[in-house]
Amino acid sequence: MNFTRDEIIETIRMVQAENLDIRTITLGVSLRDCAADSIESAARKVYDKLLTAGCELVPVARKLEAEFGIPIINKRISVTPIAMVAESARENDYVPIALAMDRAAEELGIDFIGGFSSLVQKGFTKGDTNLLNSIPEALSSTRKVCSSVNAASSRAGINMDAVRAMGQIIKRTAALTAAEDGIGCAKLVVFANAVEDNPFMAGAFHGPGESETAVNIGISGPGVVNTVVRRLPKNADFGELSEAVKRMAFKITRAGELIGREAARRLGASFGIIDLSLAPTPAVGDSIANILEAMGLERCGAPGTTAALALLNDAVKKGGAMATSYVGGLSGAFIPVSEDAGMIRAAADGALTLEKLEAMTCVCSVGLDMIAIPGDTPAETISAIIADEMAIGVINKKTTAVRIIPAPGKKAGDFVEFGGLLGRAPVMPVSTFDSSVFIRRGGQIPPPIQSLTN
Amino acid sequence: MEILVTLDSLKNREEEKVLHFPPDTLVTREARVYAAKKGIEIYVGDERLAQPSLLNGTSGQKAVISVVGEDRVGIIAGISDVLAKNNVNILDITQTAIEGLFTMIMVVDIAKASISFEELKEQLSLRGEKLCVRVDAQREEVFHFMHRI
Repeated sequence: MNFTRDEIIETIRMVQAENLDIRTITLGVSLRDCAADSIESAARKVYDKLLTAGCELVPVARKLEAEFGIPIINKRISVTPIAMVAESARENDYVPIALAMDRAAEELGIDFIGGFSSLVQKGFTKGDTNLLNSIPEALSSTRKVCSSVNAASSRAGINMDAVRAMGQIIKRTAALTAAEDGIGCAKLVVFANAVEDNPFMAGAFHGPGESETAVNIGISGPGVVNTVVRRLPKNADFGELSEAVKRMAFKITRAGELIGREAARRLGASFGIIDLSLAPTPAVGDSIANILEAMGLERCGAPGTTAALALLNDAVKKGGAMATSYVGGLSGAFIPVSEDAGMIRAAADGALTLEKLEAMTCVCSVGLDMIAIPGDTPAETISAIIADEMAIGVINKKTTAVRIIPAPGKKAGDFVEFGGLLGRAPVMPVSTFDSSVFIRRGGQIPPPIQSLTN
Repeated sequence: MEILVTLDSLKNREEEKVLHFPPDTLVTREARVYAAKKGIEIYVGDERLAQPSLLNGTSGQKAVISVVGEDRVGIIAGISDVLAKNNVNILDITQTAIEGLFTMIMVVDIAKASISFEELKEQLSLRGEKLCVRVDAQREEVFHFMHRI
């Protein structure tokens, strides 16, 4: 035996007691060959292509799960941004394509399908405008379709017309899914510097520079990291803390690398990337907030939280980068409020505020994620929250995003329930000071001086 | 004239078992992995392309079976019985108690097993239920990958 009994026991414990899993196998599928001059014909092509390209995904994932003994929580598909695919059609309504994607997802047995998306960091084409207009109805009439809009980049600056429109689109989507606390908004992300190989939802799409089909893997394991941090003595210094997290991140990522390569081989697809993000689930113990608290903070959100998150995020990257040949996607700790039991508790206790979360997004990847806000928040205020987050991403040359849910009829302190991996969230208070004059200016915020790198 | 051959170029010609390309054609590694899986032979000029070595080395030869539960008579006998019936050879076996629970770990050779890995797993876990223990089987590569560089 070329590994020890203790190593075997450690792995088994990680899976059985500490929620080690592969968060997602996401198969990227190019739909660039599905353009057509009518939307019905494009939708048919999309459905057929997805059924051919994705038919093996769930069976292969199940087999891998059984063989390697590591659960694979989500099986997903990401596709070419639909704004590009649907652009040649003469109709303006792109909902039929969303319906086709949803039907295909149902047929294939996958959990989510991402890519009802548009890249508009510098302006809109006909396809982009049509797609943005179709988002509220697409998200309210489908269950598994996810949508994302890239509204800013470090190279192009911030498209404030898109940011303004997204405020309205988010409100409209919430209104159309009011019966389920605005769940449509949980499937809609606004990005700055969106990445083309992201395996995580709701922001996954298959970028135009990707191969025909690619397997991208999202790792997991906050529970495992939490345990190693907890085991350290209270007076272990930050060097030791970082070292312990790095070692564990290495092991988690190796599991992802093994399964990713094998999945790619069996699916006959390119092996894309491993996304080194620690993604939490609502399961108790599988929480990023708990890791930060284990480092010595009474509650996530207390002063010191940003520093703790920065250390965690960096250590995960250092350990993970050693473990895989291709790092990509978002690769940073996720802090989705509703999907993380520790974050939910911290927000409900008033320890974690929107402003603190914004600060935390400066040092980790994703941004304001799965945050419920009062349903009467004006669209302009939502746009202004998005603009702030876009600015952080653009200036710091990193990906940031906003996935925010103005829960219809709810006010600060109430709870919204989404169920499953999306979890439940306390409605967080939002500043009531007005930003509408600023937002209504429109136009483009120019790219920062940092973009002049040539 | 083809300069570049990728995985998808092969997918479109799946029915051909032998492919010939002109000298100096670039065949990507992924395409070679795919060809190996599908049993397609690729010739570039007169030279046959070698199959790429897999990163995980030898695959699917060994598995690790773990048994966790309350100690009682007949656990090892019960599990070994399932293995013997299916022609699975035990290479190594250790047992210990962790936090009061009986823990047994077996490394087995599944190369000559008479049933598929899934079926073996199923049978083991059924037997485990009868013995009131939790039985898991995993391919050995997981441990190799996670704990060794």
